[in-house]
Amino acid sequence: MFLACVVLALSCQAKPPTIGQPPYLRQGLGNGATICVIPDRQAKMCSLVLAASSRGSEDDTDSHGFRHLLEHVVARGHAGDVDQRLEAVGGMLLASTYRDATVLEILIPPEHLSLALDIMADLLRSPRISDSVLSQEIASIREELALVDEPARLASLLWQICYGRSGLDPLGTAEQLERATPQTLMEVFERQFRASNLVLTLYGPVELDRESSQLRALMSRIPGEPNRSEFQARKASGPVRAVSETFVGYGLPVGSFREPETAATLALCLGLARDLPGAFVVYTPSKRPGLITLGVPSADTGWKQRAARFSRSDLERLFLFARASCLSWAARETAAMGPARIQALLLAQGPDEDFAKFSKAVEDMSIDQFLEAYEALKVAISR
Amino acid sequence: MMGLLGLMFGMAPITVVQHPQAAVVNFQIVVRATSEVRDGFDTRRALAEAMARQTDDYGPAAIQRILLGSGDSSTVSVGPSAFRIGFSVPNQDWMLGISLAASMLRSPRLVGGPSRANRMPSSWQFGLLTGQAEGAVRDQDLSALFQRWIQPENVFVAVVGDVDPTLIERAWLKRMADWNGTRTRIELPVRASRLAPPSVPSLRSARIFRLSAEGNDSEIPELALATVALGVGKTSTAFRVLRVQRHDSYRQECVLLPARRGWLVTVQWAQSSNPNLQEVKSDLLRDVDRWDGETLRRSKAICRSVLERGLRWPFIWLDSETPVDRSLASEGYFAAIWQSRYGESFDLDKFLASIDSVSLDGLKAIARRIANS
Repeated sequence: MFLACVVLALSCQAKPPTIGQPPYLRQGLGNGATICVIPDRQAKMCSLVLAASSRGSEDDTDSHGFRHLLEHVVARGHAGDVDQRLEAVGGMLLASTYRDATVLEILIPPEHLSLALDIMADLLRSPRISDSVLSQEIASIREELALVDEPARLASLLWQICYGRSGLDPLGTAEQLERATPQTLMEVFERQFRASNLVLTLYGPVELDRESSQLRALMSRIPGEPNRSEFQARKASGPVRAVSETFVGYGLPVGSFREPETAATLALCLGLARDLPGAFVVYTPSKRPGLITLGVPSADTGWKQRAARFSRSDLERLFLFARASCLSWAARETAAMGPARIQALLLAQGPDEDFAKFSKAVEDMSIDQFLEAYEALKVAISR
Repeated sequence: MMGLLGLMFGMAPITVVQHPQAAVVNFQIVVRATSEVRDGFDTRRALAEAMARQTDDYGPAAIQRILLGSGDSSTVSVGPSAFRIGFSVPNQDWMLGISLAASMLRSPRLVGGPSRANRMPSSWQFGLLTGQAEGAVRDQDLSALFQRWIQPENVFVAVVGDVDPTLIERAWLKRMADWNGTRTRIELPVRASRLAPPSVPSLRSARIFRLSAEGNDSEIPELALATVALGVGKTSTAFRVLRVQRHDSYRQECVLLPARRGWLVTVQWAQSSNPNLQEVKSDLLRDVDRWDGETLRRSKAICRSVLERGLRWPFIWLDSETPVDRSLASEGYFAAIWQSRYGESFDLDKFLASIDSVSLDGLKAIARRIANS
């Protein structure tokens, strides 16, 4: 349903114009923030998502992991009772740190939407950061890092090999996190949670006009700023390869998620992984240059030779299945992440983004682009 | 679950779950474990994979073509209570789906092959796995197991999608009414198909720990609520004890899984150091003793949100790969499991009413049993 939505995009304007009842509203506010409301009468839960773009606070050697730590701190709320209030009515809060944004998502039954808006207002306030709060959250993140599994570690390693410093893992390291202080985290908060970095999206059985006004009122309280910062450039070194305990990982750099070349690369990896026991593919849709990881069990010693010798007709056969696998992946991702989260994540990277463009890219990809993706994989295999 | 209909004919029921806007029709063939079937996890998985791989009517390439429109291969998973084969076809091909499902049951070519993971289970999911790798499965074992096990009374089929239940039932009846489960084709010569142990990704340094206890089929409302109160959410007992109080663990959950008989409740957590299990149990029990009316209300609210509204916090798992969520596949799989357990279609309203009637004392009694296990 989300993929079929028509988008009404309004650019940044000081005074929002009157709008009709399109299926889906996206609006830039005078202070630089963006709101997006996606009504769906069939939905049984509301999803209210705040995405804070990492524009201007990208992970660097001195600071990677700080946004992750900040996410933990912000998600506590001022009184530390956010989870209690939400779960009492059958709701929940999810918080995640991606390379391109930090995402806070409240899932809640529609009759309790006002509670979600109250809590979101609380989360948007400057957090109270004490040394003891930092210690507790760093201890929690130590356990979180201990839980990172091999595919995620391999993908993270490939990102660093491919993108160098700008490919650092946003989860951070335990050693790095120990360097954070309340003051450094407040600085990250002020950079990251400024109005022009924020996107608030709402999905559910809601009234477009009424809920748009509420979102607008909530986000308009945040002071504006004259200029929006831009993302630091991210430059790939080319296809890369790395080995972990039980996998060989191939990292294929790609452009924006809406480019057919990206769709072709993802389709190739999904198509190959489909019938390869134990293989995995990792990709997070991004407008920025990204990386698709194909992980192959190292126990399958013959795969490298087989994969390097595909003929054109092999690939033409694979193309059909790969395209279908890719569309199926997009549908699964949309279902798993939910329209509000995926839309917030993309809008945090820039206006005019919409995951529906990915399906269009899959439809548009050509066999030649698929063959080019295979050539890139061959480069990674040969490394 | 909307539009749930059931039809009993002969001894093998088919359940149809209507989803008016679904883009594909999903089929789930669920075969319940019986006390006669002692074969292990890998043998059961190999049988399921062989049945899904090819049949007398459909070779591997033909099956691939049928499933192409859905974008997915067939899915096979094995739990302590059953195994299942699932696949989807585009809406217009529902009749072909019926034919393929019937053929997988009536005339599979039971030839072993490389084990095919649908998707690699995460280490977290693997913690829920109760089977052990056996190393080798022979085609003759598959054939014997098929003849012993794949009988109409053990097979439950669910069809989920934008379908007409009457047409589905009629088509199924036409193909399966005379099925007695005995005919199968045995490929010779027999050879051993060695199965590699499941490939499970390692964690950086944490290990998975768990406490489990079984409950009866009749205790399902109390078990479901206790699962939520013990380990779903950041106000659950497991979160309070293992993360906030003991600082032991980042991730901790409680899940409910159908066991061979009854249901299995598992509190699972990841930890980078070695826990003192006695201390953990004592702390969990102390927390359970403090449960009050608010705990009960919260658990019921979350239970309702997950089951009725699809809150993404699944706490019922059908096997280590399949949470009960709002996907067509899991809905069909759950419907079939429910039918096999309770002899009736799953009725969400009835189930939620039974959950509403659980008392605080009943909830605590079950939770103490689990924490004490």
